Amino acid sequence: MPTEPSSKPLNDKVFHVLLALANEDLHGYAIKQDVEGRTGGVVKMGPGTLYETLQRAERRGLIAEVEDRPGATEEHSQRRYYRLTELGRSSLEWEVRRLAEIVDTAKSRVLTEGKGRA
Amino acid sequence: MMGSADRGERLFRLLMRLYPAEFRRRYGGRLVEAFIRQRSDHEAAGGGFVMFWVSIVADVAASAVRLHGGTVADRIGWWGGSGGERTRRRGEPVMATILSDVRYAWRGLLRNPSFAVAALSTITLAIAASTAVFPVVDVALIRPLPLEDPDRLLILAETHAEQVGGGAVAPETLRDWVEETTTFEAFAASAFNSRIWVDGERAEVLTVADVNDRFFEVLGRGAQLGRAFTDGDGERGEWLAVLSDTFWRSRLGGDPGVIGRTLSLDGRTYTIVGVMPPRFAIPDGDVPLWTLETWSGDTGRAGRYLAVAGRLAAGRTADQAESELDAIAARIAESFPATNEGWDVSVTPLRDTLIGAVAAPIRLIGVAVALLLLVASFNVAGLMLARAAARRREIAVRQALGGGWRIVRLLVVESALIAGIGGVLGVVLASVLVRALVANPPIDIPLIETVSIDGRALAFAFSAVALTGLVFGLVPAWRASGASTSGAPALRSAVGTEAKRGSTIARVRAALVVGEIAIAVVLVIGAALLLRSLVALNAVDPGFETEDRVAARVFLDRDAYRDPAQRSAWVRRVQDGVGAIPGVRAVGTISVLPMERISVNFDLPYGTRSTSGLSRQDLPQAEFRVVSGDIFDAMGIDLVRGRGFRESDATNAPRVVVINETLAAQAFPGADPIGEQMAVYWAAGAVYEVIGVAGDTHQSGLSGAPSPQLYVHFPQLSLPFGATNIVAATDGAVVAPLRGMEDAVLAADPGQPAHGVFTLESVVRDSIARERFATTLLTGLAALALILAALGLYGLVSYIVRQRSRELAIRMALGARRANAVGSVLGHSVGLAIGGAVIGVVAAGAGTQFVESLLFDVSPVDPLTYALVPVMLVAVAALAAARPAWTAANADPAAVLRQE
Repeated sequence: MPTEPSSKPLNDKVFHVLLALANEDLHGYAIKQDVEGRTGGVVKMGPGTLYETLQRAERRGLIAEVEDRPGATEEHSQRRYYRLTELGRSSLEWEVRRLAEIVDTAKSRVLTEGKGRA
Repeated sequence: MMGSADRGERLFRLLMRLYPAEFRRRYGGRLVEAFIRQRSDHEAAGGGFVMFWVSIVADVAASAVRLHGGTVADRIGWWGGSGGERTRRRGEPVMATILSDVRYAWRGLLRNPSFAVAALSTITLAIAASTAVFPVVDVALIRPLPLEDPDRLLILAETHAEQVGGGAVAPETLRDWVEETTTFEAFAASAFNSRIWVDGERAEVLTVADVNDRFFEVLGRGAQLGRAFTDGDGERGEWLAVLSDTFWRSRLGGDPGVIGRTLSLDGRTYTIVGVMPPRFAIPDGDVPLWTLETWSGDTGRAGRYLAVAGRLAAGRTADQAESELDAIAARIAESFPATNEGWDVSVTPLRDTLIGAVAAPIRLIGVAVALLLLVASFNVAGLMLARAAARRREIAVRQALGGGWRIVRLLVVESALIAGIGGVLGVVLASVLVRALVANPPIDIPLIETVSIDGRALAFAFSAVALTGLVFGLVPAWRASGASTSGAPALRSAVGTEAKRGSTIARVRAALVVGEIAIAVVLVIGAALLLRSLVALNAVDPGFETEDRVAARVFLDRDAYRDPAQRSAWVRRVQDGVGAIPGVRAVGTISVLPMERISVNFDLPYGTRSTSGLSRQDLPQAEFRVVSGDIFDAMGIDLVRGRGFRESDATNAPRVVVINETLAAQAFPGADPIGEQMAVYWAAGAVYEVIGVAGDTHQSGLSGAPSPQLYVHFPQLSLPFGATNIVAATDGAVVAPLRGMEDAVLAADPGQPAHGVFTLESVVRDSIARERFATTLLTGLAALALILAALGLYGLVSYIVRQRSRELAIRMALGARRANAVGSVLGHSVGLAIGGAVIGVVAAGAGTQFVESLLFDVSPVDPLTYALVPVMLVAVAALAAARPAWTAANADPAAVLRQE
């Protein structure tokens, strides 16, 4: 399994899914709630988009399904949980670094220029 | 909840079919669960039902497209033998860009709901109107008739240069055609006939079609059950009937066992041999059944009452058929001059006859709807331009970041999205409209039963959507791409004064608005002409009273009432019965009502002293009406001179006649007709004394000129025809007398129910239904066009005002008067409106052929209309421009200047 992160920027939705799974394993709907809550509803994840994104991330080896999760109750035993893979974590970190660089560049340019204007 | 899926869940599962099967298998359960949870979250948050489903549908559609895109890319990748991952990325950009464009456009629409609502409702209305009208135009004017080889079908009629109301054929003449012609394969003949259907205890009048044995063969349609009549049926002398699908289903329960059963019509027993397929609507869609008839009785060559269609023999043309029929007509005229002198045969294609009367309004509405479609797309193009202008900063930024073509694509995707959604909504609305139209046709549109939103209508709707999408998508796209090819200048200009760019957009929008106003002028002129014509028609005095007049139509059974004395007795009973109804002040009967559609020719030759030298076939003719009771009072027809009929004008009393003013002027020019003698030739002919002159009535509709007419008294000329109209004048009420009349007719003879009760007002109203229909529809379409044009102008002026707000503010700050500022904005819009109005007036003048045949007493280039409509349009334009202009003038100059 390759662990080299993809050089291509992550798809917006995939990025948000990875971010949702950064600290804990979640099931599908919890991922949606995390993403929508965190972005204030700007990134929308309907059922179709949610699972399409999960499938995409899974096929790219960024996340994996976990069959049993400690603490799962009887009621929720049918639920599939998702977890970041090694590749997923490194891709996420790489993407965050890339975004941070962009933000830094943008800040230095836009804000200085902004000061120049009235 | 989990056990039985509710409706929403079922709908969602249906939507899931859009996904690739593999995805559905793997995630189906989880998708539904997510759907249910999202719905309860949405409801808990107080979200609306519509928004929820919009988001779900958008979500499923978008993800399904992406997933299929992925699948396709996978398949392509399979060929290359490389791993799925890399190929998917290669496949992704196209799908992904299109998708992101769609998503971008969608979000853009949601961000700007007023634009979305304006554009969508405009397109939806225009597509709905045009898609609803298209199938009507299609069926009536474009599509081949639903008959076998319809081009070989000709409608044949005997006509006379000086006789109105021809159009029918005498049975004996038809027999000659059958024997002598070689250009025809066969003839179909039919005549409406009222027959009394006795079903157990119930008696009911049916207007059936008597047809010959080759009727169905000539029209090329067979039965869906049993058989239609065939060649030779007529010779066996059997009473046979074929049922319509509607009658069979609604009255006989659609029982397949009806074949071979019998029906009692007019006391005779008819055997049912077949049931026609649905939508076989000849002679019209209301015919419950067709009865076999041979018309073997001797009704003479003057009794012209058959509607005849001929099927051309292979290789023969209509011209050949016409000359052959003319030759036969000439020979008949030689042998029977009394009845056939001057009679020709007219040959018209079936479609012209079938559609004839309504072709003009249908064509007019078709053109009007196409124009409305154009106005709508101009309007949306204007909206899109305004939007493009409002977003130019954003577009410039995007352009600067790369790719001018992407902007064009974005704009095209946006307009495609609007056109697509508007198109779907429009088609849905159109199907509702069409269903209502078919269920309740405002006028007799032939074949209306066959009208539906079918593949052709959908194809039309699709092309209409595509075309409007192109018009309103490409104009802004072209503007955007033409603005600049490299990003930096665009950005500069966007950030800078923007004046030049803005003014070009304003110019394009101005051109669109001028076009809209021109089209609106055309439509409003058309509608105004029709309105004026309708007013003129309504102002025509029909020659009889329409208020507080009720009538009933009865078809006396010819066999049961063979004896004239019996007929007189029945008429007396009915008159007494109706006269006893509370509120009825006068009762009479008349054989044919004005404006009644009849296929029988009621013209009779008459002679006076001044015609004594003429042979019978050269005698002038007049329509005759057989009347009884106080018919002139009952109908409110003026007696200009002399007296009406009295009871003493009985069977054996001296024969008397009342003539109308036109006949008086024609038969006794310059003389007092009262006391004059008049010979009326029905069969042998008899001499009548003129006792009165009645006012003219419009027999063939309000727009037709009155024709010469004579009234004879029922006891003195009792015809074997059964049609009788009982007319009563009431003292104000009509509903109760209408009901009372039905009972009174039944009381006179329980076996002779009324065929219908109605008011004379409805007779006149129905006679102008075609004109009213065209007027109402065109007025509606013109109003829509006017509103759209006004909105277009309003939008444009608001835009210009925003563009010029800085300039206006500076001018006002420098002391310009407010009125001047308003005036300069208003002047510009009024200038545009005048330009559009001038173009519209010229175009309307060039398009008069679409409206001409529908006009009564109004010139298609009526100066008043052509002068007033443009003025009105300009006034509307000034009104539409006033508000934004006023707002601009009232803005605080300092605030405006600070904003920039």
